[in-house]
Amino acid sequence: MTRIVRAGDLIGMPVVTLDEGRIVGEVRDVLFDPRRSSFVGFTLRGRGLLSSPLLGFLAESEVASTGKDAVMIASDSALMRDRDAVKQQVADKREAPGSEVVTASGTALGTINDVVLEIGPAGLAVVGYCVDRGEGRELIVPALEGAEWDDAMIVPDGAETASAEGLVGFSRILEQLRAARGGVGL
Amino acid sequence: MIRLTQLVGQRVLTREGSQLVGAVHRVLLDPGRGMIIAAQLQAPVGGHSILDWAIVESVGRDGVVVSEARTREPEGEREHQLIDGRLELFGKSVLTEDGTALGEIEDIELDEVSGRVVRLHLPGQVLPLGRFVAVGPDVVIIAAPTASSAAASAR
Repeated sequence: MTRIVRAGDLIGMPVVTLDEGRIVGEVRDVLFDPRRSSFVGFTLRGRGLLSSPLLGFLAESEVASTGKDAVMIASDSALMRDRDAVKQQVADKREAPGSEVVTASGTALGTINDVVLEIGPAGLAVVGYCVDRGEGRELIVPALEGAEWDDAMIVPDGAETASAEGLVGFSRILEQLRAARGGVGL
Repeated sequence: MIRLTQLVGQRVLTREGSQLVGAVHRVLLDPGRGMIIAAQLQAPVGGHSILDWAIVESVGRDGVVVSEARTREPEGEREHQLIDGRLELFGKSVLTEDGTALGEIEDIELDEVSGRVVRLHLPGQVLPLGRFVAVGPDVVIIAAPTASSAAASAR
């Protein structure tokens, strides 16, 4: 069973230990490696107004499951709390929102405002990007192979036609792309 | 079968001599076995507040009968959390181990002989308990209900 979510929907989700039933914090950022379209982990913050703005880093390998209502981890020790180590983990990751998306032939599609994740038994995978096209219009572009990312995200020509305006439509696009590839990729 | 709401407040009496030991205030569950292992007593006679459930002989409509008037001070982190109210079960959020919220506990059905939790009463459903994963200070985590148990839970 898989489901498609916006990374932004995971922000604020409680992180719960399976061994003690304790909420250790909540998701602050969803980090991913754009070059490999892979989920890297979460940074966590404390809960409540006076709590710590950065509690630590939770690596992808330490996430037991990402549910509809909570992120589950085995125990408190899954969380990397050492500040220097956390900074190192976060340092080479980039924020996707705000990056411009341009096709290989130079057509600007808009600016990324969120990342689309697929949550399945194997964990989280980046499968698309929400692109703000201005005037309230949004397009969800699949995380196609061949996309390059430097000052802007360069996507293959034709990415626009393989895009959708909402998560439901995007799920269908994803199925079609996978069927065309014999279930491989994305 | 007895509900936790019925158990809380019940007098605890010794079998021999009907000596009053206290009244049940909160119960401590062992998540692994899914059963009561201790109770915090209200107004305990003698001042000690923890009753080991192993000395409970029966749970009736009007009282809990124990083999002896033996209570003790809380020991270890979990018993202190019980005393502090952090393991209070009523109103605690229930999550499945895959991170789906099921609601907050309204009541718990127990086998009065074994002390084992049989069903959880949640808003809109009575859920047969397969297995506790954790009973913690913030949430109760249970094994994800199977399709058959979910169908049986519909009120």
